[in-house]
Amino acid sequence: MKISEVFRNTFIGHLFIFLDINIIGVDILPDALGWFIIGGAFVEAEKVTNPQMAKRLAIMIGVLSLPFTLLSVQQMIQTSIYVELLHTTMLVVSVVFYYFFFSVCLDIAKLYKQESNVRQMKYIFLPMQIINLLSLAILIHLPLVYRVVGVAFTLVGLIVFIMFIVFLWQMKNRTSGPIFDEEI
Amino acid sequence: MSKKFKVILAIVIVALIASRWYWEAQQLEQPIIVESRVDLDKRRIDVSYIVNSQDQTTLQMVEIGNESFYPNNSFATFMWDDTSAYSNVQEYTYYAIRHEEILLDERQHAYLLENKHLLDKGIVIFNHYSPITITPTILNETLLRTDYFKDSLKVDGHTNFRFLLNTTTELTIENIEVIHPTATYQVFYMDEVAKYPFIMEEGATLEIHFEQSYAFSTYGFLDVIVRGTRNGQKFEERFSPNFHGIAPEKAIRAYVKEALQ
Repeated sequence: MKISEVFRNTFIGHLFIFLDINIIGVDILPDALGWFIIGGAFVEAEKVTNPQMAKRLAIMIGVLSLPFTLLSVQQMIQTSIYVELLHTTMLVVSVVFYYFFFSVCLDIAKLYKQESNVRQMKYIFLPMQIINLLSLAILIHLPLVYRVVGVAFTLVGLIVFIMFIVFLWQMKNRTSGPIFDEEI
Repeated sequence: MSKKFKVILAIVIVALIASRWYWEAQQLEQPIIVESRVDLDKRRIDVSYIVNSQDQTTLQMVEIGNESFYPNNSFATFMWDDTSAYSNVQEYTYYAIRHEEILLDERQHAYLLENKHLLDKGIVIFNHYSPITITPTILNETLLRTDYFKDSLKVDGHTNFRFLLNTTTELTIENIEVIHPTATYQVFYMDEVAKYPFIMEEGATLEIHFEQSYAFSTYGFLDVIVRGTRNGQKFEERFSPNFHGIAPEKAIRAYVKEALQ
């Protein structure tokens, strides 16, 4: 059983999502591919839990983010309201995804007695995603506030993301051994 | 999904939809011309207009009679994150105000002087919208028919304020105070204060420039108190400059609302 691959692939998928390396205007680490990698990561988790919802949502976000593969989100949003709607939908679905993702993580973590780590990360990462989404609704009407809060958001977001990435890597290492119950 | 998460998600989605709906409701279908002026003495045409914030629309030309007039600085009209770089753009939450100036060459100037009857109608052509018909104010002819203290506040860029005080009677102005209402008590005197008492002749326009900080131009509105003597009688007039060119956010939104009704 290679449960640790769930976290390894999720880790790799998130690198695709958060890193934007553009060469001749094309992102060589497309977000869509990142989401598909994350979707595929749950195959291993099926042995110990039911990750279907998280898997479907990851693939759904991957499909939704396909239009953003060639153009940056900023460029696309300026072209049409439908693109903006698509981007917002993607963000909403990703919040739901992370809810189910942490459920899957918790199920796996129980086998390795790692629940507290997952819960801790969940209560940092998920609210951050929700606040980030809510800020889209509020800060658009308060540009002056956004200039100040936006910088703080970016900084906090970056810190939380690094914590999340570290968390995924740690979980990969912690789940690479035999299941706790089996060991007993 | 837990009930708590569902509730939070529902609130966020409703907020996103409401926010987007409100934003859309504020958007203009086409620019609103705030002011268009033809100044034959200074050989220029000025056009100020409101567009949606971050809209990259620019004024392409103004047509008066058979003549087309092109802006001198139309390339420098948009930069969403640092509008202070250009004096002819001011971005607010929902709207942006642009100023375009067209300097008349010898031939154009001669054409307008010869065809003053055409000056009451012009057409402004934008790159993204339908042409808009304007009735330019002909500056050197309007002075005599303006009311006493027909006031005008212009903000050029973020730091320059310009007042136009027109009068139909002879006045002696002792001083002019500019009050920023959001400050506890702050009075701004113009550089020209040394010139007062100032005799303002019938039909004259007093144009005053002064500079203030970025915050001053962005927040709040201005009150102006003019003190002086008229027909031997002391007077003190207080007014809030009307929106003739540009004003802070609140005034712009009020103007837009009025214009759309």
